[in-house]
Amino acid sequence: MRYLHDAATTIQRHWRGFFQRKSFHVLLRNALHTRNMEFYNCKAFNIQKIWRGYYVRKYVHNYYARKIYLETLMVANQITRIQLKEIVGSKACEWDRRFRESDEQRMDRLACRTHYLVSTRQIPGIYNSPFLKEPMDMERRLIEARPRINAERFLISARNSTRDWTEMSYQKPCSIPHIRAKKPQGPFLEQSQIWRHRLKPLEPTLRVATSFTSAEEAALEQKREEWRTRVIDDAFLPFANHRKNKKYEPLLQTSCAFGSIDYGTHHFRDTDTTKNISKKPFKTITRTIPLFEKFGKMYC
Amino acid sequence: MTQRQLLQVLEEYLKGRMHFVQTMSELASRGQNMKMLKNANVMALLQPLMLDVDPSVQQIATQALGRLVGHSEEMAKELVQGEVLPQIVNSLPKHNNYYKKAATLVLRSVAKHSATLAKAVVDCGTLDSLMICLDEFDPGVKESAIWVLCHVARHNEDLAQAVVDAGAVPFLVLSMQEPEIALRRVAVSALSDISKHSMELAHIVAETGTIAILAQMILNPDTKLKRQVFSVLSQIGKHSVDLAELVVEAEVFPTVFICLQDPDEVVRKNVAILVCEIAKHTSELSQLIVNAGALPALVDFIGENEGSVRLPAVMALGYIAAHAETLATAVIMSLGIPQLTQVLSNEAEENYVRAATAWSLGQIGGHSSEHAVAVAGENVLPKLLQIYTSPDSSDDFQNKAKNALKNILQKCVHLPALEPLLRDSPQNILKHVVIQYSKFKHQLSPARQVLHSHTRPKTSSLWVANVLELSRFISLFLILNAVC
Repeated sequence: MRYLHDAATTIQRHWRGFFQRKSFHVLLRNALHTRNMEFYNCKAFNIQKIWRGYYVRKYVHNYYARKIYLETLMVANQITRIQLKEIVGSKACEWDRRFRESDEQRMDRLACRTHYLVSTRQIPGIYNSPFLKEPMDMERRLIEARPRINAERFLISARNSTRDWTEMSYQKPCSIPHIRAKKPQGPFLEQSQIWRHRLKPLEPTLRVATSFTSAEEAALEQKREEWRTRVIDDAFLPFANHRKNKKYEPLLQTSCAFGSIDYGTHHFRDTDTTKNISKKPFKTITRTIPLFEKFGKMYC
Repeated sequence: MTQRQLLQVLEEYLKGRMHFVQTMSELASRGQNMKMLKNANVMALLQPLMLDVDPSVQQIATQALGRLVGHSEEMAKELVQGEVLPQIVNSLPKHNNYYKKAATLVLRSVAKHSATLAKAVVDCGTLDSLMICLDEFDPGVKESAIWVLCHVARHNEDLAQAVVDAGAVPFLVLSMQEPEIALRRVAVSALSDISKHSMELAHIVAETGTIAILAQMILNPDTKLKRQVFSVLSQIGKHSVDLAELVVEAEVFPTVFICLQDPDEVVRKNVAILVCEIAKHTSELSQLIVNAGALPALVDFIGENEGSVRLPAVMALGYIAAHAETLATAVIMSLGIPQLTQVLSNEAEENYVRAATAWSLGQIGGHSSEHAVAVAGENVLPKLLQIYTSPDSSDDFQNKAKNALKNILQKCVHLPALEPLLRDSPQNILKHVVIQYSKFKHQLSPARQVLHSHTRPKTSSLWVANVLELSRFISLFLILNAVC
């Protein structure tokens, strides 16, 4: 019995050894594999650590870039302050001047309206107090005030608005239109008409307004246009046969500005009266341009 | 009766009517006569004269009515009820320029009082007649027509939409480029009234290339025009990020800071509002503005001005600092904090300006410990505490002060700055202070000295009411005591 046990144990012993020796290789390989992986992982961690640090320092929160940004911002702020001061300084002079001017104008207008407060020899005015050494500034303005006519008032307002002088047209003052109260006896023209004609701005006729050298200028312009736009001198004419490859040039005598003349005209500038609407020639009802331009502008 | 006598009588009648109408017109232009005129029931007399045969009587009657209605709302309502408006509107295109001006004056005076009246005006079909008026050459007529549009669009979004649907915006853009200053002013103010209501309207105004034109008008010397220009730009920019970007792309920014020192107060305020509205949206926009040099301009602006003019500038600084930590540092480095503390302490009348300053300071200090230290360095925290605890600050002000304090305290680790807060602060603030102190439990001497002098007497007195707070407080105290 014991012999059998010993034999079985021996067999089992040998078998276990053999089997474990076989799986030992597998174990060894696995252990080697895990050790390699750990090694590579450590190296990978290292790389990732270095990369993350670099990336954050450079792109996400760059301390030195921020520092430089803040420093340059401070410098730029200083420069901006200086520039603003300069510009505002120059503007401040202008603002000051305009303010004072408007003030002056206001006082002058006030003086104009209250000119009756000027002091006379008998009665010193309110601005000429006997207790003062010399009269106030307003007194001087009152003395220098001159009456203004209606026309000047709106001319001044027209001048104040920012307009080109050629665009200034007659602007009726804000007063309401007059009713025809008592007409003065005599063949007088209406006040408004007279003023309109007197204060009319220059309206040059077409002849005056065209430049002296307008013909030459137009020719130059046409030349420039040709130079700009005409790219090809010989137009591409797509015939294979070179004899047909020529541009058709129509006769001067048979063509007019709108194409060729009608078929059936006997000679150049021939007129065919049968095609007219009526027998009589056309009559010009409207006046010619030089005459028409004077319409409404003459003083009558 | 001969022909001549008849004509004489008729002329006298005409003279009588003219005299009446002219006197009414003059009286109506002064506000103090309104009551008399109302009692005398002048409106009922003027209304039939508007349909008079003689055109000048018509015009002056309309003008007088316009002035009357402009002064009081009841008369406007009466006029609307009398159903005269449709007649005026229909006859607008037919008559001459004076009548047009007078009629538009009436419409404007009715529309300006309230939204219902403006709606009544629009319902009569005014907008189409106004478009015809806008086609005229005379700038005075155009101006009066645009005034009506202005007053109509001012009240609410539907009316502004109605104005836009009638096709007014291209006309307004064209009128902005006319040489007459008054016309330009009124066109720009109409655009401002339209664009202030909603994003779509602002978009419609902006897409016609308006912003480029407005940007050119910034340095125009006329004051009222500048007011309106800045107001339009801020209304356009306030609705969305894209619109704000459009405004910034028009290269307004460095030039706008020149107008921050304009002699006129309203211009300055509008510029500050523009900067505030644009800085509000995103951090990129704030960065753009800061790069263009906003910070010195704003800080100087706060220093030189008084009162409610400063409010938008203070809020602008707050918004800029709120977006990013770098910008908050930039605000601190541009010496913004001394100015803000000066506003906090010196501003006498306008409490809402101080509330906005408290908010801004909270935004600046809440980013990190350096920011909190910078803010606390100017002795700001006791001031904020005082505002929070004083009984005569409004609720809104107290709220803002409390939030600012919390924001700053959560980041503040500068012990000398926290010291004054230990004395009189209420519980919720003291909690934060003590938490900050507890972060120093690893340090020994500074915490110990302070604690001995301040916290012992405090806990010995029975001001701690809430049990939970008490336990928390005691636990913190024990931690701190473990140090000592």
